[in-house]
Amino acid sequence: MADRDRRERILRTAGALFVVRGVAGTTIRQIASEMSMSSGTIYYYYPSKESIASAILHRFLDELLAEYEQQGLDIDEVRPDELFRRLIRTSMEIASRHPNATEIYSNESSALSILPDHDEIAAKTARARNHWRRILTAGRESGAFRSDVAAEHVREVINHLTWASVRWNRAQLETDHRRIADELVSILLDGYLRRAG
Amino acid sequence: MNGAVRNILDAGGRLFSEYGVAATTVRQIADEAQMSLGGIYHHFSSKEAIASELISRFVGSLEDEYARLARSEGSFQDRIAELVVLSLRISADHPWATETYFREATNLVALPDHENISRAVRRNEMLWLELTTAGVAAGEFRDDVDVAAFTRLLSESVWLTVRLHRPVLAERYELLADELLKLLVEGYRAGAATGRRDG
Repeated sequence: MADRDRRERILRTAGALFVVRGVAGTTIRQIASEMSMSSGTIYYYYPSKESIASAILHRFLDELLAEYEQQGLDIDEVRPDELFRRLIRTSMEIASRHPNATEIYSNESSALSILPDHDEIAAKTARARNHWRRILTAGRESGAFRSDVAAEHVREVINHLTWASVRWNRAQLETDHRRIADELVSILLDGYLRRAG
Repeated sequence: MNGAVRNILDAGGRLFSEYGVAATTVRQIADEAQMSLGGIYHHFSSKEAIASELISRFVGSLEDEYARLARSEGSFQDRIAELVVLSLRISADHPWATETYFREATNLVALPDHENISRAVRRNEMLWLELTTAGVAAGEFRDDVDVAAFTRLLSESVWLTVRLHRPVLAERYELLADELLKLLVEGYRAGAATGRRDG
């Protein structure tokens, strides 16, 4: 098996265990036994279970940021509501390709500081947050979004609901991420009140 | 409420929210509450009993107020607004109970009163869903999005707001509720509210 495939399999197997048992409740031995490998083989690729958790988060965040950056270039050309839709669609699409990453991030949020490169992970999540801020700010400044609600509260809620939706819909996410994203966007932008007429 | 008990619940809640029940000791709670260990044990038999009492009081208050709301009249938009406001207000009255509940959600069985807590939580969740469902049936709310999905988004955003805004919750809960309703019920699009159905 090629090194890359093997790394990939380790990340997937360990990720699934982390989601069920938490990083603290998972051992390298369990990951190895799940893959019918020796612990030594796992250690050849990763020095610790924490470094595996770290690698899962980095790969997810790197892909997410690359996509956000590509989308973000359009800020002067694309309508804010369309950018908003792309942001949520992109987030869910990338999440669908990284099973376990959102779950690990949210379950371990209080324990992330034990990860070997938590500063880098925090820096990447801060960059992702800034993309959301930028798009929401552009929308407010152009008059497309409301200005009578605190910007940061709105961002926190929208951001949180997007990742919570990923976790709630994990089983259907791969096939249905577009529909799930669009329903969330529809509620957030248009509200739940039935329109007259 | 007994001042010592309140003090213990508050100190315990702060520690549980940050470290979890498993990683907190009764000794730490005593230090945090500036009481003696004996003083704590006079009121509670264990740290689990403290966490249990903290959460029980909170979900019990919610249940009482929700029951009152279920009997009230008026538009469903107003009743949903009231639901959000009182959820935040009761959360402010019970510092750290929401945080402790969320942290312990996967391990509730460790708490002595977990069966009653789970029952109350289920009843409370059911009330949210009954109100939104009735609002859809009455034609006030959209029928083109899944009512359970919307209800989950709304309640998730309420409990998130509690956790993120804990230090200012007591003074700002009305404003925070208003913002959540503008976002999720009226919609974030500028002018979305003006097209709304009257009454």
